Amino acid sequence: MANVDLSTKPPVGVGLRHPHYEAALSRAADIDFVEVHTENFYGEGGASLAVLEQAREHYELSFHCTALGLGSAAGISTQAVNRLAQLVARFNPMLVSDHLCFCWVQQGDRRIHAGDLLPLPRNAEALAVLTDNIDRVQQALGRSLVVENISTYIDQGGHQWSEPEFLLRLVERTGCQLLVDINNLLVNAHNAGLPAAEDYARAWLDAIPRSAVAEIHLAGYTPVAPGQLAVDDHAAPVSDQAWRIYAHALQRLGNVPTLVEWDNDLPDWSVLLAEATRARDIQRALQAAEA
Amino acid sequence: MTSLAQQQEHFVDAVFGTDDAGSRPLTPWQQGLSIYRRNVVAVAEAALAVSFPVLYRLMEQADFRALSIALLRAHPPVAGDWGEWGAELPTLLAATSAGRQFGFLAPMARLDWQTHRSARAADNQFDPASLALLTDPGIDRVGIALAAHVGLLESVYPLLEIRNWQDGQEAAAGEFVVASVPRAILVYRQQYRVEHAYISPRDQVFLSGLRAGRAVGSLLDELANTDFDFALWLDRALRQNLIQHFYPL
Repeated sequence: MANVDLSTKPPVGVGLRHPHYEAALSRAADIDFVEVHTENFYGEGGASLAVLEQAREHYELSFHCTALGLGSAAGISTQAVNRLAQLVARFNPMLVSDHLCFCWVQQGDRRIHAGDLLPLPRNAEALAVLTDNIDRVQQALGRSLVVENISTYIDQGGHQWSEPEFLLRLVERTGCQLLVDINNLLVNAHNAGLPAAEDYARAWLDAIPRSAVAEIHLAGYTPVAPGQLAVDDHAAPVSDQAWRIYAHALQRLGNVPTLVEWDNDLPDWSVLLAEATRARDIQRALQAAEA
Repeated sequence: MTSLAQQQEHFVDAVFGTDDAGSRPLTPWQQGLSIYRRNVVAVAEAALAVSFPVLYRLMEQADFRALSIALLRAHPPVAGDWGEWGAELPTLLAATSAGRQFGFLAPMARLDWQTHRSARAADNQFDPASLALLTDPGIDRVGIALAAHVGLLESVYPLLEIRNWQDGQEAAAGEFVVASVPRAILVYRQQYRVEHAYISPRDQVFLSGLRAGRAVGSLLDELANTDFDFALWLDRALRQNLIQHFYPL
């Protein structure tokens, strides 16, 4: 298994998706870790788990969940938590993360999964639900969970706090850490009609203390016409705007593990690696400037 | 129920509901909702295309998408794993116009689903020590636990021929013939590769009986007047990785 010393070498990784399995696993690329969506590995056996075994021969693993639904007032799935715990126990990933969202609702006598990352109001009731659910997951895993800010397409209002304030309360209550997704900040700024998305993202980051952040996500989204909502589709290169904000984030937060995500219209593996190299170059340039 | 729970239920009802965006311009709520709706349909369709790959290639894309939406509404996911969603699709498909017009589609969906389940099933490790149970207590008091990846189904349609043709293999003339009686298909996994094979009615009786927890001896009695050969079957079953262990009854 690859071993990354987090104290001296800030890791850079990429999301590992099915079309890249052969390229990624046939020989080790110049990245430190790969992130996988855990739900793709919940089968009890078969080829998918073998892929993870192969992947960890070359890279550290990071587990990114998309379906726990941490903000679900209906509660979270015991089955999903148990499966995640089994997977974590077997592979011991460097990070385990999910999103600040809800997925589960009670519908009659069954609890259904909405299949998407649905937005939460930032209020005391949602904070209490998140706290209970995150606590349950952390107890099951025996480790801290990392929670990601999401893109939203509907703002239902009812907020008591800003997003950074809300997240920090969550960190304080649960001991979880944060995954800062820079693309999601930009998508939300665009969708809120904010004229200066970059300023919004910088201010958001400035409100987050260094100690709270465990990881940064970088991705791109398909540009849309003015007036249209942007979708966090992970179908484009990281934008120049996002790279600038990333540099700001590193200055603010230090060299935290960074992951480049690309989920739709996947490019060649080498293109994805080039994005990771760019992240590493920015880290090094900042380190050199500080020295 | 808390207000947050109610709010979340209403939100999901709206996401899973029908498209009400007939008027223009769309309100911000409608615009946002349409994104969530498109997202969930796209993810559902992609998940079903993985779980039902042959069906996906056989159907018109619009029909497959409509089927995905119908399944979402009738049987929304109850697990956070999309890979577990879709068991009800074959039955739902059989009741659609496409399913009625092309009778092989729903059976093919069943084969796809069994293949998908086999691919995800627990890895099998045969317990050779349990073979001793065939001697003591003997075949009349011994059952055989099949590997988790073993599946059986039957159909009058030439499902394996269609499947092979979809995989790019040449179809021989006269291959796509509807049988007068259903043929049994065995689905199993060797290492990570899911295999399919037509099996004889005797093998079907034997495997179904084992599944039902019957003793080997009882099943051999039932098959006594046929050409079923347990020794040959056992040799093949071990080579095909069908057996988990023998167990006393």
